[in-house]
Amino acid sequence: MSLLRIQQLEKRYGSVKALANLSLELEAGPPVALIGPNGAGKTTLFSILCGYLKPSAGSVEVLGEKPGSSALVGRLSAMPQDARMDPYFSVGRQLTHYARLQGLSRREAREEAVRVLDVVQLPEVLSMKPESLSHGMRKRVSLAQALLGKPELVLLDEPTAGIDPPNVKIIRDLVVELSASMTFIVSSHNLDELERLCQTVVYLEKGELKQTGSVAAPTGEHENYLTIRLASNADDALFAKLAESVEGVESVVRLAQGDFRLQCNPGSVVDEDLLATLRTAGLKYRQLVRGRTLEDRLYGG
Amino acid sequence: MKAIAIAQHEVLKLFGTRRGWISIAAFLLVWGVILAFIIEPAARFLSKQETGGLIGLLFGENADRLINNWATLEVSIYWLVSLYVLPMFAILIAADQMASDRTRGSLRYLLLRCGRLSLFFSRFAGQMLIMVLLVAVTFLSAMAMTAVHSTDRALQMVPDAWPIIFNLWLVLMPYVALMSLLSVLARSARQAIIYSIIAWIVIWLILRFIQNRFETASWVGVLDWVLPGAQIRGLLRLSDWETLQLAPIPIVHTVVLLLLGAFFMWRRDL
Repeated sequence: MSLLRIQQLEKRYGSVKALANLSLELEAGPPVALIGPNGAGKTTLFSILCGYLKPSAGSVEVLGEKPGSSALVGRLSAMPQDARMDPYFSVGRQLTHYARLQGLSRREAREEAVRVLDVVQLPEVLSMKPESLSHGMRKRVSLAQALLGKPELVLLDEPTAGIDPPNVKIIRDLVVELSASMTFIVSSHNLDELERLCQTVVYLEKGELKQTGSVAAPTGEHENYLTIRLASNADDALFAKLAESVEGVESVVRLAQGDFRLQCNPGSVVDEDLLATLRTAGLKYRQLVRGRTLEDRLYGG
Repeated sequence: MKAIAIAQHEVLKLFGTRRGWISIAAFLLVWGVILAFIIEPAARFLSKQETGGLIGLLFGENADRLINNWATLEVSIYWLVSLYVLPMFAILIAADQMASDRTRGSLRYLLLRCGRLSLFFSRFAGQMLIMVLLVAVTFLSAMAMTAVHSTDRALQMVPDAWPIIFNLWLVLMPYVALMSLLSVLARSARQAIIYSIIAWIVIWLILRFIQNRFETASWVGVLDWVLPGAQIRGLLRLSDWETLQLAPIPIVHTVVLLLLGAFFMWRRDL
């Protein structure tokens, strides 16, 4: 089923173009990563999909409907980046109110509020005010509101920004667990996280679509790469020298973040030889990835 | 059902939150002062006066009608004071229909579940429900105050309750609609109130300028009816259900303001 159909989308704020000539089609399925530097237009795109912003030009269909259409209630959901709940009502009352607006009876809405708080592992905040929660807990409550009524498509705008690792893990695990029953589109700057969560990547830059592709098992030219992260006390220079000596390795490049990218001859299988060489030399590694990392592919040149 | 849930939640904002109860307490205090130091003493004072003299000086040509149109003097004074004071309360109470939600981002949670216009009109409806309660409470308090001195006079007020409550509700309607419009444009309740003051003064000045500039034009009299509350002076001359003669004016004001508000609600980036 078509998840999104966007054609020639443009959004201007005065003379500034936040989105320009954006065309994109996505199908329902595993999580999709929406990536781009600050100001790339990710939040603007999410806001248009949710109907918060009106496009300046172009057409948008979400689940076959126009953004803001009443037919999307209960089918499309979102966790807006900086939205905060009303500080004067308890979390439970607000979630119940939202659920009622989705067409549930008062009793069903109350049960649904309890259910989604259970899903995000925060049943204890039902009667608490949002202001008394930590930032990470508020993010999880925001995720809970996005899960009300089991939507088909959930947009998560920076779901883990500024929160501590335990909360990040809970949100990440939930996305993995729930992605079997709903499609997530996740915007984030944390490329490692997106690489683990998502199968498809959509890359925006300066409001334009730069590339879309798969972050799953490497295919095509990416099959010829290995990325390795050494243990912190490993000798980088020695590694480079040893790696180049492994048969099938064409070149070794040290990436900005300290990982090594090995380009191999097409068709060659070098990982076992490489690991054997490292073991013999006493060099320890932390991670070996087939293909190039997302960060390397997008920004590594 | 969605509209009912939104309107109920709007009422709950006032009666179900600590902030709401602080607002209610403040309103009751101010109204108590008005009741004790304006309505009650004025009614007592006027009951000892002839309708000429000082009363005539205070209320001009409306004096006789104002005093005699309603069952008791207390109702007359309540009617006079409420027509001018309750709109101010309405502006204060209805100022935050959208602004805080928009600034905080909670409007985005709501818009995932209901249309912009549905939210706009349902919140207006919720505010109008609050206004019924507000007017009813003030009238009942005036009755209670009268009952302290005379139960008979308090009972005489009962038949006046319906026309007065309904008329005051109509009077308040355009003020609430104005705040519906301004709270879409403002970023906070306070800003919406400031906008209302500025809009009032600017429109009044423009109208006065046009009226002076085109003094003899036949259409210039229409401008007297442009600002919400334009019918209030006329209402002072009327009593009972004949007050509904002027009902089309607040209704037209309300429709125009709501249409404007709906237009901005529909068009705005939220």
